[in-house]
Amino acid sequence: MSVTELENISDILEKLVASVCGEQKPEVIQKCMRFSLSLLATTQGIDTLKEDETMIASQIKSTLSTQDATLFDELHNNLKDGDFRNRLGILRFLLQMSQSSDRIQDDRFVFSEMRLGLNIPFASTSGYSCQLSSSHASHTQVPFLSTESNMLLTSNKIIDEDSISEDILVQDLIYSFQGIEGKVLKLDSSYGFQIDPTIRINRPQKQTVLRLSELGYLYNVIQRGLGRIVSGSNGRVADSFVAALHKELAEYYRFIANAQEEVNRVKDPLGLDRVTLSHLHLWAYDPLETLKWLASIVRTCVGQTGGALASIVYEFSHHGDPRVKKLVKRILESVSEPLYNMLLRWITDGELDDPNKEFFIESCAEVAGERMWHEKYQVRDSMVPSFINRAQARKILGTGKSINFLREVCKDFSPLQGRETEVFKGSSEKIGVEAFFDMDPDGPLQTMMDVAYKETSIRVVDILTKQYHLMDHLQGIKGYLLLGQGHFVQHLMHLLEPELAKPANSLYPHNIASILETAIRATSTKLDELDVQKRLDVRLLAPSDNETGWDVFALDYNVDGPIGTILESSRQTYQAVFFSLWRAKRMETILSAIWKQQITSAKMFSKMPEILPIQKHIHLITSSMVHLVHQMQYYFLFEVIECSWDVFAKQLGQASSLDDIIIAHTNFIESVRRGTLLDEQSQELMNHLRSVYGPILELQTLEETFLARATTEYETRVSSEKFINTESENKNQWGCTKNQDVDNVERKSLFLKYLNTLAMKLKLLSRTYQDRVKKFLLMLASAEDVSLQLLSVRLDFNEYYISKDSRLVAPLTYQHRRQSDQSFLADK
Amino acid sequence: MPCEMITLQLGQCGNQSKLLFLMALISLFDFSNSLSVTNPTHLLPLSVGFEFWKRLCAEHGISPEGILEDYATEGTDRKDVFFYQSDDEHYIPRAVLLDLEPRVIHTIMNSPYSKLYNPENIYLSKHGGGAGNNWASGYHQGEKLQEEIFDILDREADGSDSLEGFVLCHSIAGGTGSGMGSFMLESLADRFPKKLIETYSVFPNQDEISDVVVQPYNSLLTLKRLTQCADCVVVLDNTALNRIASDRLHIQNPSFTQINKLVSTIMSVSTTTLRYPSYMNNDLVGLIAPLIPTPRLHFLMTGYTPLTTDQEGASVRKTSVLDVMRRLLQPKNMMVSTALDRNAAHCYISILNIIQGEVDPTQVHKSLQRIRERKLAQFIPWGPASIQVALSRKSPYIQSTHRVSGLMLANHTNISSLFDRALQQYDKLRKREAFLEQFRKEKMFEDNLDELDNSREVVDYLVKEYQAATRSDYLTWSPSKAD
Repeated sequence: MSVTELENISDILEKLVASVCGEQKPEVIQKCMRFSLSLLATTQGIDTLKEDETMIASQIKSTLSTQDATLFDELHNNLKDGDFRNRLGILRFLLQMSQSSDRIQDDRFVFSEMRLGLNIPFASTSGYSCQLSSSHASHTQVPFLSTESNMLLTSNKIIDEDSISEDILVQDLIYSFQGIEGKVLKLDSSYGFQIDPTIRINRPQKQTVLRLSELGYLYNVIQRGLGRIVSGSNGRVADSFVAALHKELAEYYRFIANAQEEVNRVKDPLGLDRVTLSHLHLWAYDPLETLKWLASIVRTCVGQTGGALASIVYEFSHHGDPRVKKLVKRILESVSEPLYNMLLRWITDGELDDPNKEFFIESCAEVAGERMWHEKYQVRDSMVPSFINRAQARKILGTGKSINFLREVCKDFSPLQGRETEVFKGSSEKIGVEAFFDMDPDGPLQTMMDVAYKETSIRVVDILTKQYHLMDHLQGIKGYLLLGQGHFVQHLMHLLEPELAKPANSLYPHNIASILETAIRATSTKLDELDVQKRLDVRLLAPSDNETGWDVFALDYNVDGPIGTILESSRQTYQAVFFSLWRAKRMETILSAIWKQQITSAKMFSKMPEILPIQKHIHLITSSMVHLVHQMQYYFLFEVIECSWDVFAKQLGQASSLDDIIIAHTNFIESVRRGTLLDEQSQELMNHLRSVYGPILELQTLEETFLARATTEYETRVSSEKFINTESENKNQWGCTKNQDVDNVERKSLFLKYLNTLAMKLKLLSRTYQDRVKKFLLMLASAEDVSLQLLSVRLDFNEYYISKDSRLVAPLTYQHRRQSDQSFLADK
Repeated sequence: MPCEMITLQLGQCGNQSKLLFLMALISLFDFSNSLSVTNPTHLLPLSVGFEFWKRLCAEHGISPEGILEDYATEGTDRKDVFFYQSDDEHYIPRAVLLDLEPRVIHTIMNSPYSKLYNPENIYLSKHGGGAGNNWASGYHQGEKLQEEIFDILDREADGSDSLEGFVLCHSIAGGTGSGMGSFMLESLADRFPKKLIETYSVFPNQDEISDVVVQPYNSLLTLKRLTQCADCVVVLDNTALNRIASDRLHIQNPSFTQINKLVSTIMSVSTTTLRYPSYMNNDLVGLIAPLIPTPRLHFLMTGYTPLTTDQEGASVRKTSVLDVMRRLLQPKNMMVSTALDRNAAHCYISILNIIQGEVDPTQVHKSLQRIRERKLAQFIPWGPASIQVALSRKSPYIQSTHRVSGLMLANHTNISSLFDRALQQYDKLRKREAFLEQFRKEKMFEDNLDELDNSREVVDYLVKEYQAATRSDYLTWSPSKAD
């Protein structure tokens, strides 16, 4: 401020004083000037005019007799020697007591004046302190003049005549701050305050009062909200939220107390230093802000519990204002504290201490065994605090779940390794709750959580692979259920053949189980596979009419405990895959048998040239079927299972948690299911493949009857020849009677007739088969899956079927191939 | 356990490899030996028996005494296909060794592997005179000895749970292997009609002039039995083996061990899917059924890659599945020397590739696509056919420098050129009625030479059937209609 400005102010002030006080002595004007200047100069604007101790003392003395005056002097001196700092107040009190009784009636007894030097400095922490200077700091103050004060009083009284006194308003406001109705301010329906309409109040005051009354409204809102939270009584997080709010409110109460104190203290007859609405307005600025935030927090938090509550509070912490941020952080800290403690217990010991369902992980007590891992513990989505993301929540879930999995399912009660390491030692003390909601990716809490997660997960994987021989079981399943051990499957099929040919409802599981055992014993080379072999089991599906054992038999693999956690859910799929592979294998076995019988019988029947064409036809049909069945099997077993297994094994090697293993396994079984045409989209293909298998079974019966007929024919011929020869030798003549001749001819013609019909049947069979194969190839070629298109190409590698059916060419044209190549590349 | 195989080793071809192996050893130790071999390639019938069993032992971790090595106790292989265990847990080959002269078998009995065989299964003709390279002599000696021989075979057959078939190792040119082998083929087919008979038959070296002047007769007579009695003949062509040894392996004078090694590799790899079971091809039927569509078209060619020798292990190629599969289709890697393909229509009837090593199944698929696109292999027009692939495990006890190796078993119509050649040579000899006196001495040919004419007819039909198989009307073709 420049000198000229200062002079301007003093000029203006002089004029103001002159106009207010009228003609006065220059000393009086000067006094008033100084008083006004000091009023203006005080930054807080509330520095009160201080009386001089000696002045009051002399005032007292003036009312006393001389004797009394000396006594007073003496006492006064004693008082000065004492501890009381607020001597001025005492003196004023005495003075007022001695003054006329008419003054007393509108003056209330002022306790604030009786603070007797226990002068607690005004609220300091939250920055809205009022910093009242201590009473005796202002000895330099101009002595108060009764004339002036009287004059001011009269001017006040003039205003009071048509509107309510500001003091009352101030007091009312202070009441309202506490949510209490006063003379003027009445509660309305929404817990806000309204000015009693019967009371006349001028406009600026009204506005100020209404503005200030917002505090009371906010306070009410908070109180009501907290009341509802408490009455809901839902858990530790809510409790600590309420506690935190109360702590914040304590600050507010202090503000009210101070204001009240100020009001009371300055309530002196002279009224110059009384608390005005402007004072309140000023003081209430900070509390109002705070209360606004608290109220909006409380408003949104009502009805929320646990993690959700923490999330809501956390939302507020993004505010740009550092003060708000600090405020919210304080609340957040205490809100998160119970959650944090639960978290620590969960990730270190796997214990869930959450009676009020506040934590973001929930448990289902009745789940146990194989489903434990999948179902017992879940992330309670609604309770995940928003400062924890999904991945973290999953990790946290995984950590405790792993611990519980080790304890419950793996029965591994050894202390967890690494719990004594630095990271965990006193982690809860070292890492404050702040770190919890900060979620600093490099912070100590994160590190601790990561380490805990990694360690428990790896331990689970370790236990599964080492103690529970996961790989052995998987290899066992691959070997037995997915036909990896071809010689076992072949042997089993060979042994089961007579049994499974029976009607399905006449089968006894124990018979088949004992055959299974025989097959296992005959083919196993390793003794330590015992556990795996013991788990193999026979499953007979519910038979329906006209079904044979082939339609209902399936192998099963019993799993339990930790391994069951991974495999149990895929049991059905494995069974379905086995069923389909077993069927394909059976076709191969049937064809092998036909082939072998044909090849070996060909030597025997070389002397019956008339059956040669039939044999040849059977050979060629068989060889085309062998080709298809072998190629299909190769596709299923190598390109589907083996390739998927490759990927699976790689993922297993990298798996660092049980979830990784489960995901890898699910992917594996899914790709196997898809590849073996067992998924929904391939149903049509699968059905058609079954119809392709149909002629193979027909061929088997045709071939068997043919073989039997041909053999009897051959044997009769040989024996009749022998008979003729011996007869001829014995009787020295052609040893054949006419009858026999006729018989022979008849038999032969019958046989030839049979051969003819058989040839027709074979032709028909061959055509049906080829048609079905062609349709199958067409379906494969038009399938969306590129590997199926390529399978179609493989099944017709030398373009035999294409040359017979032009429809098959279309899907294999360059145009079509290019499209599918593109989609193939896109897939990659 | 099903699918056991009994191996018969007949005559020099079956057994001589052992001798030759020992001779190589002797020369290595610089012992002077009267049995000096001037031209080993000429003498070599083939390496079948000894090297084969040696290799099987090595692959299964069985010591020369038949004891399982310590490192092999955890194996998941199937030793019982070719071995059985004695009461003292020794592994004994399911092998029967037959010879008409003592020389070869004696050397076996003096080798470290002498204790491996069951001594009862080594049958030596008592008069020990050999068959004199005469088919008829070998055949008739076999006839005389059949009771004793079938005693042995019956015992072996009874000793197996579910015998699948016999493997016969012999040569078609000499006396014992061809003559006695022919007799054995006939009687095996007669006595065990439900068992498969697979032979590894050594065809004589065409590039050399044979000592055995009657070789064309021997060959033709044996070919008839191979056509009619055997179910699967793996042709081991000495011509091609020597050519491969000199051209591909750059060995100036291929020694027996090297060629033995080649052949024992082929034999062991072709049985690998039986011995190391996996998803498919775990029995002989499963292995050969896809290869042989009709009974007589059962002569298989083989090919193997990569071909290496121990001596010059320096050239280790980078191998991939595609590389291996492509090389297997190249004629120069085939172990059968077929005449230049004048009839361009010759084609594959079927192919089975046994791939071993670190194989990614997806590579197989890509390779097949490539081969199909480039039309590297021509197939029959009368039925579906393709390159079948068997991915097989490998013995963990034998280290290989190559990541991937492959054996091809192929049924190719061009093999008929081999029979054609045999016919031509026979015709040359027969026209002059040369060297027939030796045959006339034997009972079969006392009265007439019908057997020779009959055999010629059978082989001729075989050639014609192979030629017919190149045409799409093969289904309606029949031998009687042949011109």
